[in-house]
Amino acid sequence: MSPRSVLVLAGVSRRYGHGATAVTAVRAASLEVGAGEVVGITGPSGSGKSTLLSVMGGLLAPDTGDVTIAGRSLRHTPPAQLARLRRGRVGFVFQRFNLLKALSARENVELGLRLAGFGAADAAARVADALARLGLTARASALPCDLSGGEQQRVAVARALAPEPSLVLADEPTGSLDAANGRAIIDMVCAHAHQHDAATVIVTHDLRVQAAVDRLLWMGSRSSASRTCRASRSRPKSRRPTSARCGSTSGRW
Amino acid sequence: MLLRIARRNLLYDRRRFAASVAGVCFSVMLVLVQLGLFTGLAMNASQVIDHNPGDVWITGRLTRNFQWGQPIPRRTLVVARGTPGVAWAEELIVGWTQVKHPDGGMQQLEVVGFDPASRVGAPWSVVAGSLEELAIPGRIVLDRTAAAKVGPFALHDYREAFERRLRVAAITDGITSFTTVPFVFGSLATVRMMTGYVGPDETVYVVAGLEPGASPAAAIAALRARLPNVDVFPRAEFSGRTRRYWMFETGMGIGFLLTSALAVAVGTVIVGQTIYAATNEHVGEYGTLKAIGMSDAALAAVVVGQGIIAGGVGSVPGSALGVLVVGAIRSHGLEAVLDPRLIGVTLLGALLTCGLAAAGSVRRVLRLEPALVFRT
Repeated sequence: MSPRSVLVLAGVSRRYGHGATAVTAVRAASLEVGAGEVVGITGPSGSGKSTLLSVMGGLLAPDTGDVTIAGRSLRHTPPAQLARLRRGRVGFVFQRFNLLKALSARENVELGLRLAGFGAADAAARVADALARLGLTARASALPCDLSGGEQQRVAVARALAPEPSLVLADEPTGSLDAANGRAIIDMVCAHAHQHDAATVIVTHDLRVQAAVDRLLWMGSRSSASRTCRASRSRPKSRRPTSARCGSTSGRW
Repeated sequence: MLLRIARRNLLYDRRRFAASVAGVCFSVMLVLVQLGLFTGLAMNASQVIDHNPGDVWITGRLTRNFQWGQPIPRRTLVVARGTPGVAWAEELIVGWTQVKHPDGGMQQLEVVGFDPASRVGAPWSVVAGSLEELAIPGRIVLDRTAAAKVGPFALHDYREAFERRLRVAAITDGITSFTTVPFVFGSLATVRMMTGYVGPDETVYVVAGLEPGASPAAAIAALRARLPNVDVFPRAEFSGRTRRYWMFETGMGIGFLLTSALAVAVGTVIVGQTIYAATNEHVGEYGTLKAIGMSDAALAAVVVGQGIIAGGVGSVPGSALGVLVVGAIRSHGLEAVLDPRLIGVTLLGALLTCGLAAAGSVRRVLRLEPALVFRT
């Protein structure tokens, strides 16, 4: 394990069901994601990408193998401690944004910060800063239902990134967005990874995202013999994407 | 933050929230009215005991309530007066009589006889006339509400019982009986005559006051030792015994309590349903909260908080309505009592119940698998 590895998966497998109907979603997956590295995972639907993401984030316990986040093994970690680890170190970005629909944009971003342990004043300052950088200051009081898809995803990204997590897990973050908004989201996530040394894993079918990541992994279909993540392309660390490739169109994150 | 999420989740569907608040409001109002009636009746049943200055009540064996006292030997009074720790003792005759209505027919009245000289057991809200006159045999005190039974009357009017004319020497206001049978007060001699079954060597109750600083337990023990054929109760015990008899042993109070329980159940179901529906609607969001690290305790606080908010918002107007309705009931001469403690306990109970109503939804949220966020 590299000293710069934030996320380490060692021989992780996960099955659903029992007996003859059991399905192995992830088999013996091993992976290391370093600080500041952006890894993309792609593959056909049902190949276990979301399961793998859940296991990486400590949302789902693997049947075998171990996950380590920032040097801490998740094996045998009680749910309460896993929750504490997630709110302090992991940022999640979802395809359908998953904003709390009764809270305003500002409150949704603040929620992430307060959960991560930021005080009210500090959180308020960070929220204002994040919304300003995302061009959402004027929309801060709007409820999610009054925001466009792109705006909602920007709020969701702000919620995940504002606490400056060391690991960011994104599930199809551009899946519900048009090209321009999708590009903006990719830039934000990549910029955050590089500026804050955050290990970032993005599950995606989006070719733009695949082009932007440092390393792209392929997961085979359920029928394939091997369900292990396989690197289909990797870019040397020294060739980490520049701001032109993975930069931000809406300023630095 | 948790409270804000709870409040916003509730207010997100304002119509459902309004229905929930209305349900709580109605339930709290109903509970207060029922408890007010229950308390009013209970206090009414023991009002003569509670207004009496005596510390100790001496009654016939197995007397279960104030209204149905049995004659006891009058020498009990002498023995009580000579017992260590007893400062004074007076007799009280409580019984039933028939008074002739001016338009014909007989009406039953509950009579209370006391010594006009000591005034122990005298009526307490005299609005006309004088108790001094009661020393003259054949003088009585009637409550205004007795007009419904004995016909309209004024001070110094006459009524007839046991073929003896009784003159109204004083009128009270508000001394009503939960039995709907009016009270009539008179001297011991007048009441003996009116009941016809309490002999000159008998009385019904002996009420004793203790010397300042005397041990009630010691004085009661001494009375029991000297009077083995009667029962001796501290005032509070005899008062409670009377209330318990009427409210529980006769089943009279059970109806009020059952209605209160039903109101609580209705409120609980309404709030429980509202919170459950709101939880189902926001289940994905709870999953998200769980995924991004909210603890189980915080999630439970959000859900329970919704119940408590609905309970709090509904309870306040419910209490106000309850007070108004109880006031209206009292203005119609019915007994209903709402003291601030009862309102406070009801409010607290409503909040607690609404919080508990959300418990089913807490279970649902805590059982959520956080990984569902990647499957929706």
